[in-house]
Amino acid sequence: MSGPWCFMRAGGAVALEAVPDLPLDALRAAVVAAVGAGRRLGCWCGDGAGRVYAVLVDDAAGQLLVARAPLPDSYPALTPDCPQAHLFERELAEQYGVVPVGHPWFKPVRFHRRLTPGPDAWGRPDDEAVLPGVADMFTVAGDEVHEVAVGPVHAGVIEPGHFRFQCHGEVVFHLEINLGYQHRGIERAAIGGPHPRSMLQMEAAAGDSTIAHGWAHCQVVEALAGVAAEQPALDLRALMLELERLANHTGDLGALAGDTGFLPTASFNGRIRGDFLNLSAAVCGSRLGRGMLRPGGVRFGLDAARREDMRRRLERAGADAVHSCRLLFATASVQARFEDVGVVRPIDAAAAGLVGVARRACGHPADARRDHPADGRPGPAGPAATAEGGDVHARAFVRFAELQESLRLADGLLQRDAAATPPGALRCRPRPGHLAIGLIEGWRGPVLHLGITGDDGRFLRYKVVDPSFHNWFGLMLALRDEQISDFPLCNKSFNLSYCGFDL
Amino acid sequence: MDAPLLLEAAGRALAHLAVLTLLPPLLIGLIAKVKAAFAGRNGPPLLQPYFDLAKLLRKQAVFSRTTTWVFRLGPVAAVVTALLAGLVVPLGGLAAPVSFDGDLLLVAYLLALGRFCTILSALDTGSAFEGMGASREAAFSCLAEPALFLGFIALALLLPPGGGLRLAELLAAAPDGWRLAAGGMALVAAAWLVVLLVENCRIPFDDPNTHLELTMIHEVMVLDHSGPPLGLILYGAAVKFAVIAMLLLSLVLPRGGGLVADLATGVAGLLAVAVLVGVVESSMARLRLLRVPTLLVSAALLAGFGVVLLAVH
Amino acid sequence: MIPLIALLAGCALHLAAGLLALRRAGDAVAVLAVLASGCLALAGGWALAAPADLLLQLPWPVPGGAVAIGVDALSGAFLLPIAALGAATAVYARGYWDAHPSGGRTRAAVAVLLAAMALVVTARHGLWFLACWEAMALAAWVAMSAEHREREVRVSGWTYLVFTHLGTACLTAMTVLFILRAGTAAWVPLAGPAHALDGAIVLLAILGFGAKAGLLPLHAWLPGAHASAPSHVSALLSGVMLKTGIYGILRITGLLPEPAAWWGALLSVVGAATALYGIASAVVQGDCKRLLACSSIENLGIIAMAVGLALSARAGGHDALALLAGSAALLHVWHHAVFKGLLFCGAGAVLHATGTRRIDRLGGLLAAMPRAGALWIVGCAAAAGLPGLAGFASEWPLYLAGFAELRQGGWAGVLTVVALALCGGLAVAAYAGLAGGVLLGNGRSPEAENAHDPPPSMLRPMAALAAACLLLPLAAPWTLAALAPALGVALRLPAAAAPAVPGIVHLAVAGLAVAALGAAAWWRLHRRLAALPQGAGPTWDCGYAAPSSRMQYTVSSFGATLGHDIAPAPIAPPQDIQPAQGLFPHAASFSSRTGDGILERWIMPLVGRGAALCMRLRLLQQGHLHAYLAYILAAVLVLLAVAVLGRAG
Repeated sequence: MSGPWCFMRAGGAVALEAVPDLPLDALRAAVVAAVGAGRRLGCWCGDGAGRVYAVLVDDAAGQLLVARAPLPDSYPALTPDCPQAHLFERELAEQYGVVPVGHPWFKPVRFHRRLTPGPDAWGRPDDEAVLPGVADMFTVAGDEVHEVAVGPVHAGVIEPGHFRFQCHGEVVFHLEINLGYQHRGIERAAIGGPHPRSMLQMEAAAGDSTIAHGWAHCQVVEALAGVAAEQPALDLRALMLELERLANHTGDLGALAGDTGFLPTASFNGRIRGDFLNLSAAVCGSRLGRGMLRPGGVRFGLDAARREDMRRRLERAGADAVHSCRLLFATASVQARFEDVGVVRPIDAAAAGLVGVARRACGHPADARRDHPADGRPGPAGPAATAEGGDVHARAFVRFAELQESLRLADGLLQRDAAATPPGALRCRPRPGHLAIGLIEGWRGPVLHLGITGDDGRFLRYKVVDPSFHNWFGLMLALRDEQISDFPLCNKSFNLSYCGFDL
Repeated sequence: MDAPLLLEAAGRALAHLAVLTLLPPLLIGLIAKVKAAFAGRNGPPLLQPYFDLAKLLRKQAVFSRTTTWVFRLGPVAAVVTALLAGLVVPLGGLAAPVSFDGDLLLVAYLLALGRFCTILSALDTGSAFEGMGASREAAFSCLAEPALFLGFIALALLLPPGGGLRLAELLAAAPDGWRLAAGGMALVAAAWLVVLLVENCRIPFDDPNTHLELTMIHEVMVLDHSGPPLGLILYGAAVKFAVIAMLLLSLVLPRGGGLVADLATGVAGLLAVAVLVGVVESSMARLRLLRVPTLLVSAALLAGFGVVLLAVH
Repeated sequence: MIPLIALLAGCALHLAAGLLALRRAGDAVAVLAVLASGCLALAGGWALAAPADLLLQLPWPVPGGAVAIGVDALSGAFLLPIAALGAATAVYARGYWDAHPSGGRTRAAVAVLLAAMALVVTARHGLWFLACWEAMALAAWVAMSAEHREREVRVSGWTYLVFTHLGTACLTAMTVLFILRAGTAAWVPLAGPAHALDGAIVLLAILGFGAKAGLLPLHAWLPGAHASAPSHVSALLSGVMLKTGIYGILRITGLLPEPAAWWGALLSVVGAATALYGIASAVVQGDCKRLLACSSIENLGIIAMAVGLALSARAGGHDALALLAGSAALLHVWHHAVFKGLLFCGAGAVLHATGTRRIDRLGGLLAAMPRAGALWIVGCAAAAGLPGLAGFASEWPLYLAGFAELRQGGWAGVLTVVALALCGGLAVAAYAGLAGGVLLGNGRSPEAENAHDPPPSMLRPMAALAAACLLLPLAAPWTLAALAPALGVALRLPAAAAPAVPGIVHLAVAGLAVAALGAAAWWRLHRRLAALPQGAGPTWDCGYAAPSSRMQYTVSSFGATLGHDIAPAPIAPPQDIQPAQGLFPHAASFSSRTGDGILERWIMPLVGRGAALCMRLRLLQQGHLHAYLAYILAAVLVLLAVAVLGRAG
C-alpha cells in the first residue's frame, strides 16, 4: 500500500521523526482506507501530548503500519466508517476529552476523569461522582421488556463488570457490557519508565496472560534499546507461551464442560490444567510464569535432565488433556449445547475487529505467531486452526486444535539443545524519541504493547491492548436473540479478561 | 382390630413418618457424594445437608425491603406441602399413614400449592433473577403434570371398574402391571423418573451445582432467602425429592415383608434412587433450556404409550 | 308456592332498583338489589332443599306463546349464584361505579340483566325463554358498554352482539325443531323413545348455548367484552351469565328422553379444547381482566367437560358416575362464580386505584393496598385450583369421575384427567403470574406507586367472597349432596342414585390440615426469627449502583416460555419486534399483542372472505326502482313456477 504510513515489524522500533505526522483528516482517511483493505486497527490512542497514534496490523504482510496526527478538541468520528475503532475512540475521549463527533455509541469506557486537565468529553460537572458502570445504556422499548442486570458482584469469585440484558422471557434482544470498575493505572504507572517495577506490572496486566504481556513488554523495551534477545531465550519464552496456552485452553474447555453440567471433562480438565501450570512452575517457580521474563532475556534456564522430565510430564498431561477433551466433543448432549449457540457472524467479527480465538472461530486464520513471529523467522508450521460457524462449538474446537498444536510445539521446543543455555539478560536502555511495538499471540489472542519514549529516553506513553479490549464486543454480539440461560456458556467460550480491559 | 395388628400399623406409620422427615437430607448428601466419586473427589460429608440445615437455622435472616408476608409464606408452604404430600404416599410396603379416596390428586395438588407459594415468594422480591427462575419453574412443572397423571391413569387401568381410588391401591397394582405388561410399566417408570428429575431441578433439566443466576431454576428462585427460611426451603426441597422418589419406588419395590424388611427395602430403595440420580448427573450435560419442554412432552408421550400398553391388557 | 313468589318478587325488586338507579339514588338501589337477591336466594334455596316442580303459566298474546315460569331444583342451582353475585356486586358497585357519568344507566342495565337471568333459568316455554334470553343479552350489552366513548369498548360490544345473536339464531332454530318434535313450545320433559330430531336439537343447543358459555370456537367475544365492561359487570358476566349457557344445555338434555353417546363425547372434546385453549391464552395475557376472562373460558370448558362426562355416563347406563360428573359440573358453577366474582372485584379495585389494567405497568400493590391485595391472592389461589380452596374442591370430584370412567374402559375419562392436569399446571402459572405481577415486587409505573386500598363498600363484598372461597370446600360434602336433585332434573335420574363421595370429607380435612400445619410452621418460624438478629436490605442487585424497576421480571416475560416457546402457533400471540440491528443499534422495541389467536387467525379472515363475497352481491343493488320491481316480478314468477310444478309433481 502506498500511503502515509510508516511500516514496521512487531518487536521493532522507529524514531518518532520517521512516523508520518499527518493532518487528522488525512490520518482518518488513511485508517478507513487501510481497514477497508483488510488491515486491523491495532491501536488508536493519544500520547498525552496532543497527538493521536494509529497502529494498523497487516497480518497478510506481517507488517505494522504507524502514523500520527495532532489531536483537536473534536473530530469526525472514525466509528461510522470503521466500527472497530469504537472503543478506542471512547477511550480517547475519556482520557483526553476529545469528542468524536457522530460516534454512534458515545459513552465512557472505564468511568474515570480525564487524564489531562481540560473539559470533560460528556460535559459532566467536576464535582459529580463518576459512578462505575452507570451510563446511558441501550434499551429496547416496551413495558413488556425486562432488564437483567448482572454484576459488578457476581455469583462466583470473578472480577467486577456489569452486564445488562434486554430480555423478553428467555430471549435476549441485546446485551451491553460495562467494565471499568478497577482503575488499575498500569499504563500510567509505566510513564517515566521503564522502572524496575514495570516488568512486574506488565506481567500482571492480565494475570492469566503473564507470558504474553511480559514478552510484549520485553519486545517494546528491547526494540527501544535496539537490542535483540538471544535465540535460546526466545525459545524459552516460546515454551512458556505455549505452556500458558495449554493451561488456559485446558481450563477453558473444562469450564465449558462445567457450564453445560458435564462433570467428567470439567473435573479432569481442572486437574490437567494444574499439571500444565506445574510445568511452568518447574521452569521459573511460578505456576503463572511470573518472574520468568526480563527485557533482554530470561531469568531461568533449563538443564537437560529437567527438560527430559518436563517432556515426560508434558506428554502424560497432554495425553490426558486430549483424551478428556475428546470425551467432551464426543458427547452428544454437550454438542447439542455447543452448536449454534452464541453465533457471531464472520462479517460482524471482521467489522468489529475481533481477534484471537474468537476471530479464528469465524474462519479468519489470523495468528500473530505465524503472521508476526517474534524473532522474525517463520512461526509454527501450517495454517492456524480455524473453525466455521462462529458459535460456542467453533470457539471450543479452535481451542482444542490449538491445544494439540501447542503440545507439539512445546515438545519441539523442549528438544532444542539451545534451550539449555544459561540464563541471562542483555542490558536495555531505551533510546529517546522512539516508538516501539510488541505483538505476541497470547492464548486469548494478540497482545499489543506500544511504547513511546520522550527526549529523556523515558516512556512518554505506554499503551497496552489486551485482546479482551477487542473481544468483549464480540460477546455482546453473540448474545443477540440468544437464550439468556446460554449466557454463561457464551461468556466462557470467549473467556475474556476484566483486568486486561480495566488497565 | 386387635392389639398386635394395631401396634403393627402404628409401627409402620411411625417408620414411614421417620423416613419421610429424617431421611431426605441424606439423599441429597448421597447424590453429592456419588457425583464427587465420579469426579474423583472426596466430596462433602454425607451428612453435610444436615449440617447446613443446622447452620441455617442458627443464622440471621436478611429480608429485602421490597418483600411482604408473601415472601415468608413461601418457605413455610414448601415444607408443609411436601410433608403433607408425603403422608399419603406409601414407601413400598410401608403403608402411608393417611389414605383416602382420591388422595393421589392431593399429592399432585399439594406440590402445586407449594410451587404456587414459592413462585409468589420469588416474585415478591421484584428481582429479574427470581422472576426468571419462577417462570421456568412454572413452565416446566406444568409440563411434567401430564406425565405424572398419565402414570396414575396407567395404574388405574389395572384396577377393576368401580371401587375406590386410593394411591395405596393404585400402587399396589404395580406388580400386576409388571406381570401383564412389563413394557408399559417400564415406560411409566421412565416417565416418572423424568418427573422426579424435573420437579427437583436436577440435571439434565437444571444444574443445582452451577451458581450462575442466569441458568438456574430452583436455586435462583431462592436467591434472596437466607437463614431459617432458606433452611426450610432446602429441607422442603429434600422432602419433595423423597416424596416423588417414593412414588417412583412404589412401582418397583417388592412388598409384603415384615415391618423391618419393608423399612429396609424402602430406605435402600430411596438410597438407590439417590445413587441413580447421582450417576445420571455425572454422565450427561444439562439440556439447553429451550429443549427441556421437548423432553417433558416426550416423557408424557412415554407415559401415554404406557397407558396404551396397559389398556390393551 | 313460596319459591315462585320469591322469584317474582326478586325480579320485581331488581327492576325497581333499575328504575331507581336511572334517577341515581345510590344507597337505595343497593339496598333494593340486595333485597331482590335475598328473594332470589330464597327461591333457589327452597327449590333445592324441597325439590318440587312449581309452574306458573300466564297467557301471552304471541302466536303459540305462553309465559311459563317454573322453579325446580335445576333452576335453584343456578338462582343461588345469581343471587349471591347480584348482592355482592350491588354493594361493590356503590363504591366503585356510582360516581361514573354512566353509572345510573349501567346500574339499571345490571338490574335488568339480573332479573332477566333469573327469568332465563326459570323459563319453561321456548318462546318466553327466547324473549328472556334476548333481554339478558341486550341488558348485558348495555351494561358492558358503559364506557362506550372508547373505541375498544364499542368494538368489544359489537363483537359480543354478533356472537350472541349467532347463538340466538341457533337457539331459535332449536326452538323451531323442538316445536316440530314435541308439538308445543312448552318445555315439558318428553316421554317415549328417542326421536330423530333429538340429535339436531342438542347440536343446536350446544352451538347456541356454547356461544354464551364461551365454548370453542365461539369464545372469541369473551375476553374483549369482559375486559372492557366495568369490573362488577365483568364479575356478573363471568360469574353467572356464562353459566346460563351451561344451564341451557342441561335443561334441554333434561327435556329429551334418552341421551345419545355422542352428545357427551362432543361436549367432552369441545370442553377439553376450550379449557386448554382458555388457560393457555390466559398465561400470555398482559391485561389483568382479559386474563381473568380467558380463565373463565377455561373454567367453562371444565364445566362442559364435566357435563359431557355426565351425559356419556348417562348414555352408557352408569348412573352413579353420571351424577358424580354432573354434580362436579354444578359445584364448579358455584365455586367458579364465587372466586371469579372475587377476582373481577379485585381487578376493579386495582383499576380504581391505578387506572390501568396492564399488568406490566403495575406491581408492588400488596404493600399499597394490603387488604384488597390479600383478598385477591386468596382468589388467585382458588382459581389456580389449589387444595383447601374452592377451585380444587370442585375439580376433585371431576377427577374422580374421570378416573372412574376410564376404569370402565372409556376414553373420555383419560381426556378429562389429562386435560385437567395440564389445566391445573397452566392455571398455577397464569395466576402466579397475575398475583405476582400486580401485587408483588416493585411498582413499574407512578400509577402503581400511588395506589391505595378501596373503600369498605368495595372491600366487604370481596371479603365475603374470599370467605366463601375458604368455606365452600369445607361445605362441599353437603353442597354435593344438595345438588343431587338438580342433576336429577338435568339427567332424568332419581336423585337418590347420587353416589356417596367419602373422600370429599377427607379432602376438607386435608385443607384444614394444610392450614393448621402451615399456621404452626409459620408461628414456629417467626419465633425462631424473633430469637435471631434481623437484617434488612435491598433485593440482591449484584451491587449495581443504579438499579431501576425495569430490572424485574415482567408478566409478559413470565408467561413467555409457556406462551411463545411451547404453545402451538395459533395460540401464541403475535409479537411486534423491532430488533436491535447493526453493530450499534439505534432503536429497538418489543411488544406482543395479546389478542385472541383464533379470532385473529381464523375467524376474522373467514369473515373478511365472506364480506368480500357479499360485496359481489352489490351488483344487484342498482338503485333504480325499476330494477327492484323486476326482482320482485322475477321472484313471484319463480314462486309460481315452483307451486305449479310442485302440484304437477
